[in-house]
Amino acid sequence: MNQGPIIFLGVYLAMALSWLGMVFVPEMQLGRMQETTVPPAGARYPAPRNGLAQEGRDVYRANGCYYCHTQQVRARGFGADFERGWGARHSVAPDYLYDRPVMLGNLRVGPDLANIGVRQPDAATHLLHLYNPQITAKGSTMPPYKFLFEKRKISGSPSPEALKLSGEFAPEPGFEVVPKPEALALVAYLQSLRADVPLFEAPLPLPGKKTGASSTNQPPAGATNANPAPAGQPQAK
Amino acid sequence: MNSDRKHSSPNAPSKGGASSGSGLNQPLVETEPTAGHAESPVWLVVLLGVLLFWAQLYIENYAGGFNPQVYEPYRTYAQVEQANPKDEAGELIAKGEVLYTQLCVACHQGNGMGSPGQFPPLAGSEWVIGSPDRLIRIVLHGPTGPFKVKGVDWNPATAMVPFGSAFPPDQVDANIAAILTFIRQSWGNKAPPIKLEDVKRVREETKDRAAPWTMDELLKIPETQ
Amino acid sequence: MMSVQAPATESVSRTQAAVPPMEINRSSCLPVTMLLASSVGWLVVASVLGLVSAIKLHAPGFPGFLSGASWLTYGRVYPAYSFVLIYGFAALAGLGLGLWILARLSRAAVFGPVATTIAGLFWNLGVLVGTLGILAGAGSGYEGLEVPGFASPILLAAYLAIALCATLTFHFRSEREMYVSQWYLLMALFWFPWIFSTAEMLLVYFPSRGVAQAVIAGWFTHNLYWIWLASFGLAAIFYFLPKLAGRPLHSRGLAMFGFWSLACFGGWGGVQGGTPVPSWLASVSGAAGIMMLVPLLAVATNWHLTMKGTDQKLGPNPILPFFKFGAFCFIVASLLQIISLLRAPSSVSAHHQDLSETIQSTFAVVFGLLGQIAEVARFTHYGNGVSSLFLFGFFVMVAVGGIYYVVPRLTQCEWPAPALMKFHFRCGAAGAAFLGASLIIGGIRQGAAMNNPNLAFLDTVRGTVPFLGMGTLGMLLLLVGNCALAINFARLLMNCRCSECCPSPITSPGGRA
Repeated sequence: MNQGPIIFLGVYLAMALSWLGMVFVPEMQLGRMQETTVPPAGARYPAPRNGLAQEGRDVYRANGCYYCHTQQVRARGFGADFERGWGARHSVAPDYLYDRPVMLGNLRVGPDLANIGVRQPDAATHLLHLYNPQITAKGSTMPPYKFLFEKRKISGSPSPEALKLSGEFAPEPGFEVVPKPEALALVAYLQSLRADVPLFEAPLPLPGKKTGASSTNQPPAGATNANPAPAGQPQAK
Repeated sequence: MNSDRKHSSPNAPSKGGASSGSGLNQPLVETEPTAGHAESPVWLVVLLGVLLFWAQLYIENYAGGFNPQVYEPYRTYAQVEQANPKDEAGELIAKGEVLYTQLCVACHQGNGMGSPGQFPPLAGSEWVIGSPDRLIRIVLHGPTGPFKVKGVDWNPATAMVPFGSAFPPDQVDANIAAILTFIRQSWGNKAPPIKLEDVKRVREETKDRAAPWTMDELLKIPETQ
Repeated sequence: MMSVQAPATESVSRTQAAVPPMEINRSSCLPVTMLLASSVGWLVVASVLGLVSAIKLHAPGFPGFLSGASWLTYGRVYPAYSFVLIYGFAALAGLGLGLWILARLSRAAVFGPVATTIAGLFWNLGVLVGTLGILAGAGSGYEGLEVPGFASPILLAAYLAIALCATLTFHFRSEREMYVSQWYLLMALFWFPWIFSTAEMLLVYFPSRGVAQAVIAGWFTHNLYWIWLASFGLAAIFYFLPKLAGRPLHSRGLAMFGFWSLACFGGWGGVQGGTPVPSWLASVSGAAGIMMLVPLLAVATNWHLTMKGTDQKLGPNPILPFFKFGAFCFIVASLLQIISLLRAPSSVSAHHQDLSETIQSTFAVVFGLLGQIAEVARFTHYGNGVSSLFLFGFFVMVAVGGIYYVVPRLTQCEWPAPALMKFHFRCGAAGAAFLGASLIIGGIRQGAAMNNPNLAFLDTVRGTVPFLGMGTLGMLLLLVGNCALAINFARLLMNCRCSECCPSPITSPGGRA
């Protein structure tokens, strides 16, 4: 009995079935998705990213940010994603409609970024954090991205774009640190990351129906984020 | 014992050739491994059957009917429909709860009871369930000075943050309406929702004011419906 | 074979006479040695990159004087390490050993040895171009498929050439009865081009819309590990374990059962619970993952019963421990992978308790704990720990054992420093154990801390640092062990050439088969 062709045929069949189930059907279901409109004003969702943010997405991919940061939030009751303020509702497919590549991430060495544009809209904080994470999050294991910045001699007066560094992080006198276009693009991308609009698939859970424990002694919102807002300055939305 | 699997070398390798490493005690010609004919254990086949049964139950319960709009944690399309708010007030309450948890819970607590001596309660507070205009002003610019809440005097050392400047201008009306609707309908409070237009109107009326409100100033504002 | 009166001599060959093992060794010397030598080179490169990325995880400023270098940032070094390890080392070692095993079991000379060698060189070129591309920032953005789009056609073409030669070697076999390893090798040869080309088309060249990309990427990575790499590794274990033990494999039927259940269930994983995709995908992946218990137990039982009672009878053997350790790590890694797949029965639903729910909750007693583990292990170092155990504990050990066995037989030269084999085993085993255990345990602790909202996120990160330090130690041990192999291999190659079987040193007359 010639087993060779039988093995080949069987393997082919197994391969084809798995391809059908895990590639073809999801492609049919998800790959044809169109954008939706959401109340109150019928705005498009997801909002398209501007050019700078799209370049920033490329910087995010090139530097492998998704190896330490996820961009997906689980529903309330699963893990502590909601309690940490990472997202009001779980992430769903429409949130990633225009992403290429979709960098969901698998490991949280750093906090989730799905709604970082909501939690931390301030560009200056982002730039400081990228230049040297120890400035905004002491003890963090995020590497410094100094190559996204340029240290140059101050010619005339300091540039308005220069980072406001002080203490041990400041450059030598007479020098300033200025973000390169990649840094600005990356920050624009981070500011565009928001997925807080309730959708049909992901409604905001109605009060009283939540499954996870919502403790009454929540720490102040600043303590759970890598970029704590200074006290007295609540985070936007 | 099938004879057709014999090769030029004997099937059963000698003991001397068994420990064939890269060492020097090497047979001249090696045999290729062969497979014996023991039967598959029955328990493995039974396990396969049991797991297949379980797998189909698992998929039936958790696969959401293969509907592309059913995401974890929902299990059926009907559940997703049920979880969606039915009207605008429901949407506001849901959104308001999220914002309250992010911004207000630290002081006023998740049960709306506040903290004695520090932060006044919201549950049953006449400021919350009473005039919308007064409530909106409190949240926009913050309260200052002594306040009487539910018969108790309050004058906390920590001032409340003026939330009118906490949100981007295109979101402030919707967010404040959501939070206020939520607190007016939680913890036993039963007051009508606050609409986006109400917040907008009050903001317009007070756009020249930056200072927080004292109790006397607020009491001068008439109770509106 | 059903024939009743098959004389012993005639039944051996239908198409051609069986090629003796020595001849097969000679014919496969050039391609297989070339593939294995390049794989060892890439293994050292991967170990160095792995060490650098392991250090950077807990000491992000390392090395201080190069902290401004974009090509050395963790987000580029780690994908480069992963790419070189899988596509540089694992692919070449798998193909090289697989080709040799296939040729030996088919009793046929390697078909197209020169073509295979040239294809191997092209594969090396592809890996080099890909690695430099990743370090320059051209990575694709997908874990497991980091290779830039401009390098993947080279890899695919080279693989197809080698796979074709191997398949033709098998086609011209003189032994019609197939052994277990041949099934697995055919599966590995066939599976990779399909998943690789699908993933490249739908992720890199003509990307799907939205989150379908994540599903395909997850499917690809899962198949890459649990079908493709696993098949090469299992083929090697099934070949070498009985051979080195001097016994037949316990049961052919059981091996067939394990093979088909792996093929059926192994291709459906890849989507984990909580991913922003419709819940049916995670359910199907989870169910298929649980079904993987069946092939796992099948191969484990087969190996155990094959090796039972051999401990006393076998003399000292520096190579057998590689395979035993590799087999053990495969089982452990698979179990750890399986238990992280389920989710706890959700309490969101107000589902009424019908019969299926009741039965479900009976299973839930067993699997409920597993769901808790999944929730804790998600998004932590646990996943990396499992894949490290799979790669370094299972695949590297098995492949290296095969290399230690095969290369002297190809080149007819002894290893210059045989004592380094034992040293390599100890470093490799300890390194894999340290790396895997530290990431897995550290991951569980990290997950528990992350799921506690009262702990600041930075505290969860700080809590992992000691474990990551242990992981770095493991990585260092692995590097040292792999360097020992590289040194041995380099010295051997300097002495021996394939064009004529090395005039020196095999003591037994007639050479070694």
